[in-house]
Amino acid sequence: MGPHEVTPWRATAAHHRALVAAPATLLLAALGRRLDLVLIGLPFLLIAAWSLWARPNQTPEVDAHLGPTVVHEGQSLEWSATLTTPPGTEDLVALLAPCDHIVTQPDSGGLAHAVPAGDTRARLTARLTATRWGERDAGLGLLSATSPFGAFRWAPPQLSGARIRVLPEKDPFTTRVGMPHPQGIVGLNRSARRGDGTDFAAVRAYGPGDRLRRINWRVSTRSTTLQVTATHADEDTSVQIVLDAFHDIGASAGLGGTRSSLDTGVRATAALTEHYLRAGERVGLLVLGTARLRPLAAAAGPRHLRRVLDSLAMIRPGTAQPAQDTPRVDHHLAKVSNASVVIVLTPGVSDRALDVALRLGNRGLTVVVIDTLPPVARGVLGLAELTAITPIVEHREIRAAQLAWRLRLLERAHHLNHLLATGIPVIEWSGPGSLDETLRQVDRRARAPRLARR
Amino acid sequence: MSPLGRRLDAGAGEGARRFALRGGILLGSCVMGAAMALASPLPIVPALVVLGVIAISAVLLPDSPVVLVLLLMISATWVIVVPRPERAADLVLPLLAALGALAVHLCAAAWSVWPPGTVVPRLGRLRWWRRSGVVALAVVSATALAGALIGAAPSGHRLLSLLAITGVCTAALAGYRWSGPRNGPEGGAQ
Repeated sequence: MGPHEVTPWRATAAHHRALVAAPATLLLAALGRRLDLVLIGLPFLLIAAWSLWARPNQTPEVDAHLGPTVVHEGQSLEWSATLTTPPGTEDLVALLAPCDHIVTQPDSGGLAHAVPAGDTRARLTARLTATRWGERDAGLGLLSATSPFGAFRWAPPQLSGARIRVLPEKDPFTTRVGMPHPQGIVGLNRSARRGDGTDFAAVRAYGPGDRLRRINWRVSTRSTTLQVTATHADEDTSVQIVLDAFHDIGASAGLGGTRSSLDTGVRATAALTEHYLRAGERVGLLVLGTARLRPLAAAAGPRHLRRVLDSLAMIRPGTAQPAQDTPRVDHHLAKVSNASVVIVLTPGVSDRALDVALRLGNRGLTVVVIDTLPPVARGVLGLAELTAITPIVEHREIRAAQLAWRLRLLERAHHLNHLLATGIPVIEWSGPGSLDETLRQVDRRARAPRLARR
Repeated sequence: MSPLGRRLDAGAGEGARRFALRGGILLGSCVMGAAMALASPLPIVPALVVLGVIAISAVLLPDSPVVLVLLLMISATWVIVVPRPERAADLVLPLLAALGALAVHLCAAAWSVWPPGTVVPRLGRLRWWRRSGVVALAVVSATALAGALIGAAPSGHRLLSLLAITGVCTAALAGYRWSGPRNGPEGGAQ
């Protein structure tokens, strides 16, 4: 936001009123030789003369600024307008446009400042708080300065705002269970193969290539041969997160308020990403149903967390149809390693997301589905929840929409049961420990003896 | 409607001060009407009803030309229904009407300066009160002077009246000329 084009001071309705009322009344007084009318017209004459005398001769210059442009949910940003105020400028007013999920302080978005006599600079500031992830245009506003008696007003064109990127706040999440079948190079997960790690595997006889520091002297002295302690190798895993953004179901009240399905999905994705990246895993992200958002290949490191958060902030639910999405999604899924753990976050309403989970499960990947449908959307919906799902134009459509949603829930339950039947666990997101039991079961199943066909 | 337009039209969040300014317009109108009713020897109920309707419109639309219409209507009605003052005491009611007109004009002007829900700074409020007081004091002083002139009963002259009318018209035209956007680098005209 830079300096604005030159706008002149213009007379207001109040000044025009004084300019008309004074001569009209005084003319009547002169024509009718009425001293009383002179008194009635005198205030307008004085005010008009004073206003003209005190009229500012120069136009103010304004520099409006909004920053920082990247914040997390719940963080504040500052809007400010710095003006040069020529003599005669008295009252400054700014009015900020309301923006979804940006709370302005004061609530009305109106700011007022009285310029002390002699001051040549003035500054108006407002604090904005971002309450929901996403990209928003904030800081649009009107500005005006007035002269004494509100007689002249300087009002530049609408102040342009700035694109704010609000990164999602991470839900609290931890897990104490390692990932199944790690296949990376370095990491913290116990590998199926033995190698140079920390987890005890066995004590065995010394062989060629064993390092001397691995010799277990206590066991060796009790036996006749040298014994070494074998360990499991430590490896990392690739975690592929698939987020369903075809629908955003339920109302969203921002951070700390009511959550929509996508709120839960986005914040859970942020939490999972941060947790697994800190644990040394590689994390990839695929968002379904959002146009112009490229999938992120699995990678590690703190910079990758920022890439994931940026991608999450750029989600625009429902901007890509399943048919448009297919080539991009298929191309990305084909590159997902067979040893990856896939976590699908979906409200279960989109067939496409469930189909992806099913296909990956059939490929032999470990797939976990996290159900993000808000609890309020699982029963009979009220008007507010229905409106968030489908536009309700007429009152009689409410019954039909409720019935349609009920049918959709039955269909959803059928699909989720089908996933469960094929061995794909479906769990609720509940923050810390959400995945523990499921990952433990998956790990147990991976280690269990199985029938091999030869 | 744009988000800014919705916010400007948000009457619910108007704030107590803007309601007080609307009240000031209503109060000023009532003072003018009461002064006229007291000064007039005739029953002027129909005129007061019409002026009351215009006053309510002005209260509802303080930033519109209705306020000017109200002031002009009151002045015109005053000429018709109130006799010419003969004594200094006869100027008390015109003084009240002038103060009422001042209140109506300043409240409407202040109303259009601050948008709804704005917290008006204390310095701004004090400045408006101080200026209003100065103008009111000048009107009171002028009334005192007029009271003295009525007592002296100066004789009128046709040439003086003509000069006064010419002066008023010239001043009005000059006022309009100076109120327009100024050209040149300092005036800031586009």
